[in-house]
Amino acid sequence: MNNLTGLIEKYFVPMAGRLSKNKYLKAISNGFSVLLPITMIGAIFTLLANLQIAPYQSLITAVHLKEIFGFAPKVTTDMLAVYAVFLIGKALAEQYDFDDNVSTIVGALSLFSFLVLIPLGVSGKAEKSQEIVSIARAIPTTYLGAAGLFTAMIIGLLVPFIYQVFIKHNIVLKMPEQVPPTIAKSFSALIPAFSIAFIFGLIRFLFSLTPFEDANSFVYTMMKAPLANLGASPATFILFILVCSLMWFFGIHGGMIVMPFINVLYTAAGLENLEAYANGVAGPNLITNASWLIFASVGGAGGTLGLCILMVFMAKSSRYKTLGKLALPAGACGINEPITFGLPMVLNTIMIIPLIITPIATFLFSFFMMSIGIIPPLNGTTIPLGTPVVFAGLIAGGWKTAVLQIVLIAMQILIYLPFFKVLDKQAVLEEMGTD
Amino acid sequence: MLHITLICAAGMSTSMLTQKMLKAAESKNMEVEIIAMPESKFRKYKGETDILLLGPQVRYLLEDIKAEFEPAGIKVSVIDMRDYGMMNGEKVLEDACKLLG
Repeated sequence: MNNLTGLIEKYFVPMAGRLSKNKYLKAISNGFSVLLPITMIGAIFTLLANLQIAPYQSLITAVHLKEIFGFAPKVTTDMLAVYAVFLIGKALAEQYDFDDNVSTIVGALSLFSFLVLIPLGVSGKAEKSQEIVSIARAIPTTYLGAAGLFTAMIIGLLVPFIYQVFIKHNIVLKMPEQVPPTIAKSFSALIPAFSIAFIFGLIRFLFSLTPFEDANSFVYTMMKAPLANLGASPATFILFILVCSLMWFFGIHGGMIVMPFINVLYTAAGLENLEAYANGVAGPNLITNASWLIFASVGGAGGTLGLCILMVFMAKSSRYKTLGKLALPAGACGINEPITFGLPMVLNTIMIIPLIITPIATFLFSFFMMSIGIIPPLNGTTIPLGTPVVFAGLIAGGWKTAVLQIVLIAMQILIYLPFFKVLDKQAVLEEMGTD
Repeated sequence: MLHITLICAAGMSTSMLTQKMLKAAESKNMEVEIIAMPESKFRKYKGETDILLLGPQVRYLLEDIKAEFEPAGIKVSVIDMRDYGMMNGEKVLEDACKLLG
């Protein structure tokens, strides 16, 4: 065992380190985490406007609240790519250790690049005459939301990268020394900024020559759609769960390493579900970014809330009883470090089996329940880490999902039970020996 | 006044430990300030730190963080896994004080 631990410390830990330090993954992760208030605004107002309780609906309609609630989602959920491109661009600039104001400039340049790729002008049927009318000075919203999110991520990573190349090779406008440093700094951004503007102008022009006509259509067809297919497969999600559990087995924060990939693959799916929910129809995606917390990681990585309950009510050893009481409140909010390090789950060759099986089982069961229509798909709300279980389900999917979460906890108890009994018996024997 | 900073992935589980450590310090009448934050925030943190403790789940960051902060006179260490799991604030505080020698 000591040999194995040594090997892990030597090879596995540095590998996890490299992954978690990767600038691009970190930028995606940090970008999405600051995006959270905006996604929450969209989600909460959508929920408020669409709660299907008849007296509530007639009340909010009568006092115009329904109308007021409806404003926010149109410019948050439906335009999330606009915010994402700025925040991811800024986050990557911060990873390059640029000054705060330079990072903000790079974020703004990312937003610019995203917007410049969208050809202006919309056309549609006029309401009364049913004639086709075109308005040249309007931004089409097609690619400002979920459909453009992938482009936003690419641009959010590309623009800071280009900017950094200029800074690294010192291709900037140099001011005489008499110019105050703050002013000199904004001037030094000019050469990279103009270059980025030209490059993205050129990219837009080149795309206009192709059958795709614009960059977003290209990205959507070539990358977003195939990636969405990849994400829609439960096998992909199970792979992420597996990697996360294995990392935790070695005592490394698996969620932190898997999360950027989940964001890339599943954020758009969540937005699509939220848009559908706002329109009163069921979401098209059975797997979204919230599936992680709602169905797989119930009570923390490895789905350990059931285990906490087992410990509090079933443990015969004082050791696990104490740990259970310590771990249960945090576990109810999805935080389980007391379990992973206190039980411990880390390098525990008995517990690795339920650590891997439990989250996969609860996820697959939920997926099945949604496939056969007993549970509705998630409504697309992003659930912040630390939201209490069951309440999280209520917000993310409604009362049926909340009930499902209780069933999932029962599943966890059943899966963990035989393994926990083995551990508990050992602990009881040890405790008798020491008395 | 001793300043101890704990870092982990999201600063959540370390904040649990912080409370336990503060309780232990209180019973010992120690003058100590203990705070928790995500590792990504620490680099921009302007406050004082004498001892920097990493949660075991982010121990792969140790080498980098040591290289970055030890020259500034900050003691850096990883919290023992078992103590972390049991939220043994007293023991973690004791170990931290030992770092000062």
